[in-house]
Amino acid sequence: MRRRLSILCVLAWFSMPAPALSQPSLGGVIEWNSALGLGNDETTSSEVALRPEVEMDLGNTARFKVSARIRLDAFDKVEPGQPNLEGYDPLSRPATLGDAGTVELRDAVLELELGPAFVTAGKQQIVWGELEGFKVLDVVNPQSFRTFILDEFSESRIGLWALNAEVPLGDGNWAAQFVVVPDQTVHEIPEAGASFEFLASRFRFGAQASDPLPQQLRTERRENTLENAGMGARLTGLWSGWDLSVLAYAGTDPEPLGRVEITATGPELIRFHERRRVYGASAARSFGPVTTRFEAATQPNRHFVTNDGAGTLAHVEADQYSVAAVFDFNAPGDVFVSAQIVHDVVIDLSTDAIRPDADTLTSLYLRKSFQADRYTATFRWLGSDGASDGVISPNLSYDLNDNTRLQIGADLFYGERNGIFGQFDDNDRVTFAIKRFF
Amino acid sequence: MSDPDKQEPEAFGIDLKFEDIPADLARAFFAAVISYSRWFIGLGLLFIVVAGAGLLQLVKDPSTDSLIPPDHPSVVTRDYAEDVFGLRDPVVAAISTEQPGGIFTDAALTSLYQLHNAIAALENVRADRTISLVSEARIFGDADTLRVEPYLADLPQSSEEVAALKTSLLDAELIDGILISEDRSTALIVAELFDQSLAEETYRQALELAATLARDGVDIHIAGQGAVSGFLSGSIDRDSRKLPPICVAVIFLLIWLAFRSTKALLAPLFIIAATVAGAIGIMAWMNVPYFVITTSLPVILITIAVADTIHVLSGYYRRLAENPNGDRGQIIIDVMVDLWRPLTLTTFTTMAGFVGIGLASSMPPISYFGWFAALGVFLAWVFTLLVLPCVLAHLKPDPSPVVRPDGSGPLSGGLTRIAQHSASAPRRTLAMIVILAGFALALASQVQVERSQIENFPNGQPIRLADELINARLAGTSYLDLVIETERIDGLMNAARIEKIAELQAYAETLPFVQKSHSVIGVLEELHSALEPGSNTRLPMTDEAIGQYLLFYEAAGNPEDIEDEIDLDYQRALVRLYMNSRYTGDEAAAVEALAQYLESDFNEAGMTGRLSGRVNVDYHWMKQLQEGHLRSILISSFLVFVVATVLFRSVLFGALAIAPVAAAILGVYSVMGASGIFIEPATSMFAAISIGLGVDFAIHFTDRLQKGLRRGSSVIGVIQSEFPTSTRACFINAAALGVGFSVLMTSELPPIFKFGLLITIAAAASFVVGLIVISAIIGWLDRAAVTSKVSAAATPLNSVLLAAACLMSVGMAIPEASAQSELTGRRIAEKVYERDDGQSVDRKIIMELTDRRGITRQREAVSKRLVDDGVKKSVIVYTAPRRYRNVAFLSHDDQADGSERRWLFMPATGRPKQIPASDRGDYFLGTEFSYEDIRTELKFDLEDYQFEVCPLSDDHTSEDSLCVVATPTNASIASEVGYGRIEAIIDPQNWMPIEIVFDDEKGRQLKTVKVENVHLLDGIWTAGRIHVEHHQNGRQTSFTYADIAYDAHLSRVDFTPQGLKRLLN
Repeated sequence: MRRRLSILCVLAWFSMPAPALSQPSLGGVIEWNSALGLGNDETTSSEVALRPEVEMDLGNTARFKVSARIRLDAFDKVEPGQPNLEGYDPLSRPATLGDAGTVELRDAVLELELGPAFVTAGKQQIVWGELEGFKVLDVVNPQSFRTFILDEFSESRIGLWALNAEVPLGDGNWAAQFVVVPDQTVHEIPEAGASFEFLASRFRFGAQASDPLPQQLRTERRENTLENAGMGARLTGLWSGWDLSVLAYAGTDPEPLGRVEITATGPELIRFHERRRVYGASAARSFGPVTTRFEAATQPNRHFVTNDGAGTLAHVEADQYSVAAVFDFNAPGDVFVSAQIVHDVVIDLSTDAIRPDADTLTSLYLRKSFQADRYTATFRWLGSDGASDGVISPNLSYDLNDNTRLQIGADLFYGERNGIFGQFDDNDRVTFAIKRFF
Repeated sequence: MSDPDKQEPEAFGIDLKFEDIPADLARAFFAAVISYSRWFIGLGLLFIVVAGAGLLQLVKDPSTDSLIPPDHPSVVTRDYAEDVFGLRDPVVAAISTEQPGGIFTDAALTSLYQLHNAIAALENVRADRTISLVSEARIFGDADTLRVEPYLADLPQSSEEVAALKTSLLDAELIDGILISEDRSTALIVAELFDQSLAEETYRQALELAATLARDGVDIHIAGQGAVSGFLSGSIDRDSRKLPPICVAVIFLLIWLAFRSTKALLAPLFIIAATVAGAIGIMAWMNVPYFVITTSLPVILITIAVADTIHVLSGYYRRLAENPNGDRGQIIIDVMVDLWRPLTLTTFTTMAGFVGIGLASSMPPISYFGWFAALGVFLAWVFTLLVLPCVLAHLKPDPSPVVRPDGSGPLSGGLTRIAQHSASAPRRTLAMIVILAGFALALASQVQVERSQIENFPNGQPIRLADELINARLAGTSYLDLVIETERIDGLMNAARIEKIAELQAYAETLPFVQKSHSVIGVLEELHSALEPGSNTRLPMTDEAIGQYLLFYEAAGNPEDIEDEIDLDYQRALVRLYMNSRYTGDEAAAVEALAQYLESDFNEAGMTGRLSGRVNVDYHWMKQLQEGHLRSILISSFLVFVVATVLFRSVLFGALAIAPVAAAILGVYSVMGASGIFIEPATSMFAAISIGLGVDFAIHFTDRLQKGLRRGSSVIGVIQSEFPTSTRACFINAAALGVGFSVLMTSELPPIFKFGLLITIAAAASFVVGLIVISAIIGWLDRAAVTSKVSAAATPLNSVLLAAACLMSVGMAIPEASAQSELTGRRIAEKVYERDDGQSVDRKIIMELTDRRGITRQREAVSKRLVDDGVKKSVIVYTAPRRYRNVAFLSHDDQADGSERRWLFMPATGRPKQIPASDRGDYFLGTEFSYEDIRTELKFDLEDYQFEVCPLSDDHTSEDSLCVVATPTNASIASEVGYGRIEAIIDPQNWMPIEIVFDDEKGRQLKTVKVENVHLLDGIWTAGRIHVEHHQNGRQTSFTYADIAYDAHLSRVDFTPQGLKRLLN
């Protein structure tokens, strides 16, 4: 932790004004949010989050941005006790403030314009996919599942130390992007007892919710070596009205594999990670009132967990294919509608695999603003397996003024307990938030 | 105007020797006209079609607001109050019952409840401003709690609930007399309208709802200013469809009776069409609305236009009777040579009367009436001289069986005897006239400048019944508003000022006809009573308490409940006084007393009060009417006197011509005084019109006498020799006018009925009084003196030209539209489209978004635009406030194929997304500009619209400005862009729009964009600020541009989705 705080101090020093540099601008947001569990009168979370951001121009072609997040929860029920942050690379790992607080460097990016190239170096989010709530091509950054996928991805996506370069090609309508990601941080997965502990067997190495996992848990991260670093390239461009992209990425798979080892103190579950390769493409275009987007990806020889039914964990390799289609349009009454469908299939997957060989995820998102955008009402539905389970999230926000927003919403889960969403059927909640931008 | 007589060359009575225009020249002229008859008829038809096409875009304005100029302080204050407090003219529904339980019966409550919801759901009704017991809340509670609950949130389901409702209304001081009568027999629903121009349809829908939802023993009446506009609008439509055909039919019957020839009917039809389509069509082309008063204009024009035709037909049939086998063409030429002079002269005098109205009245409807009636008279003259002979030459009507060559008959004999009697006993006749005039003067002194809205509706009309019911049972339908303003925000959070407003309100309630007042004071009193039941004061005594009370109220109820009483900044308040006055004059005392009170007892440093509301507006336009009425009579009299004096070249004869008309008008005033007809907008015009028309008779008689006396005849001899033919013609003329004008009495609008009555009487009286008075005066005056005046009274052409010049020069003052440009609408739009706005631009935009309550929010953005290979690429990146920071909007508009792509970058998602591009009418990121406005930068998409040049309104007096109207080429595009019509004022110096008014697809005014601070920067005309006001939601947006750099070296990469991140801050 001392090292992480040192990094923060260095960054803070770096952001101090220097005579030749522009004055840094400080801004950010402070947010109070609270979630009230339905069917359980207890307030399940009441959290204050401060997200300061500092930016500074370093001459005409360079800029430095740094942002942090300080989070304190009054109840410590989301992740009781100190959260398990083993999945984070030490350079990326948040510092804890007791049991219910963290200090985290969210971004620390140096932006450089090197000739035509645009380079960003530092801790950052690199977003390649365009789906809401689901991921097909958004493969670079891991995710925190602290509150499952209910937070905005920009909040739950974990920034990685990376080098990113974008080089325009030809007349500027095409660009090539290269990324190198030495950071080995993987998904943050809630521990047993957390509000959003995974209960579906596919996320518990095949164990049912009623079957406890070994109490001893350890995460093996891959070494920070160049050969383990993630590397990728993407080509994007405009062609005949289409936004096109093709990409290739190889890096650590943020989804864990598992094995159980017997130690002197009993069985220990070890989460570890293999590499994966992703090849993908996307196309988006608007046709009159409708914008369509398509994403497709393949991950050859990806590793999947198997469980032989007797508790023996292993992993197999298989080819995974994912396709997604999105339709956005403005319905009558100025209602923005976005519908997504994602189909994911693993070819020749072992029958022992803990995940099914195919998933179908669907979503519907509606948004309507009133009173000159002062009020915004949204409705989001995410469903899986032909909507046999899902989550419905209505939300209303009110901009009290330019800098203050009030929000009220709910997350209502339903469906089979072993489903992606149904596993949280007990986690229905009403949420309140006040955001103050500064 | 009189009938041509048989004597040469002074046919038609006036021996005006246009010595420098020989008869031969006139004959050659009319022969040439007839030889090109097809051309003249064709051109005439073309004119009718072109001018008449304007009728298709005629706009009605039935509002009483139109009676006062829009920049009058009373209107400005009223509009200001409407803006601040969101007030609009309402439709009012009254639910009344005579049943013992009053409004608390099931049937009445159900009607009230259902009607409230049904009216609120009407498209043109503002649901949030529809108030009744269903929506209004009562305030109650104690020191610890405050509750604000609607009286009738749901229909009572039991007698206990009804009893509770009754109890809750026991001390309903705030709504007593306003939404429910004190005897509880009547309840009101007051619904404000979005768009006054759709009031007629809304009124009709409300009537249908009333008929549907009324129950046994429960009556529903629809009233209110919105309903009044709706009713009047409907009446205008019906009158406009009914009156002209009746008038034409009646006049045709008269013509047929006079000549017994069907062919004789076709010629006047042509002249009528040209006059009416010409005058009213041009009026429409000039965007002058069709007011209530204008309803009578077609009838007036038809009647006057046909009078000239009657003279020509009379001359034709008489000459044909003299020479049945003569050459018809030659006969027509002879008639026109005889008549062109008198027709011209009487046209000038008639026009003078109307020009007097146009000049004198400051009330736009009356002023326009005068100018366009004068135009119509002029057109009738042009067509009578140029087209009528051509039509007759083609028709070649056969001789009339009833027209005799000598013009003799019992009618002319009787009329001549009357004149003879007057001239032979002039002293006695004049003495009787003087006595009658004195008597008339006494009656005329009773005439009042007054108006009653109720009496403007026919007896028994539902709207009249509704108005009377509401005035009788509730506090009244007339509103007088007091706008209180303080110098700063929260200026009314001051106990002393609140007390002062309470005193003002208390004083106002003591004034005549003020039945009730309503303001935030009442709310504060109820809050004080609810929160501090034991307090011995009516109002909170500290500044803090006032603020806390209102905050408490907003928290407990709906803040919008009091937004029509106090603004959200607590800076301005409205006190509304309800008056049950029947007449506008009744309201004057209250208006004047309050104006005095505000000045002497209320206004102080930091707080002022102003009068506003409909009552105040009515007060001021009635005052203007009072002043303008007398002025119009004096100006018309003066103009007619000048024209007559110039024509006769004699002040005496000028005065002689005007005297009988004055006497006739005095007689009409006496009728008004005796019958209780008020001088109001419509009736105020009769006098000036009568002067212009009636003087024609006087001119004919005077001229006959003048001519005979010059020949050495005695007065009696002149009457015996000259009068038989001229009196007959004048009688037919007066009869035609009278019959024509009397058609106005079939109008369903009482003001038009009264106007028709008065002008009919005036036409008849002018003829009779002219015949008698002129004969008597000439008989009374010393013959030698008259003759000496007569000797010099020949009228050369230059006198006529002088008279014409007088009128023409006055006519130059006609409020005309801007000079028509030779540019077509399309060409103007192309010029705007082609305006250079740089290959690229980089600038900062400061956006100010103001809501209906005046609360302003500011946003800042960086905007870049680049035209790249025919694709206009724009990017806007928000820089402030913080929550919008780095939201970026990118668009590519391919100007060749019209396709468009848009991307939105949200920092929260971390990547740009292509978004749908087709909803061009959607509002751009919370502003009142649409995506279409932003995309086109207020240029016109040439393929999407049809363009036409339009006349400039009075507001745009710059002679150089151009007006163009853009109409979507089809309904699909209209739906896409959200506009049904765009009217733009363009500065041709730089082809920048100055002002653009957008109408929505339903034709309702949507928003107005104003382009300000246009300046030249790097050789490119640049707008410094663009402001848009949305008329339907009351919001405004302004874009102020700063740090503008044209042709900056912008990188193409910045305008790609992947390059957007480089622009982020």
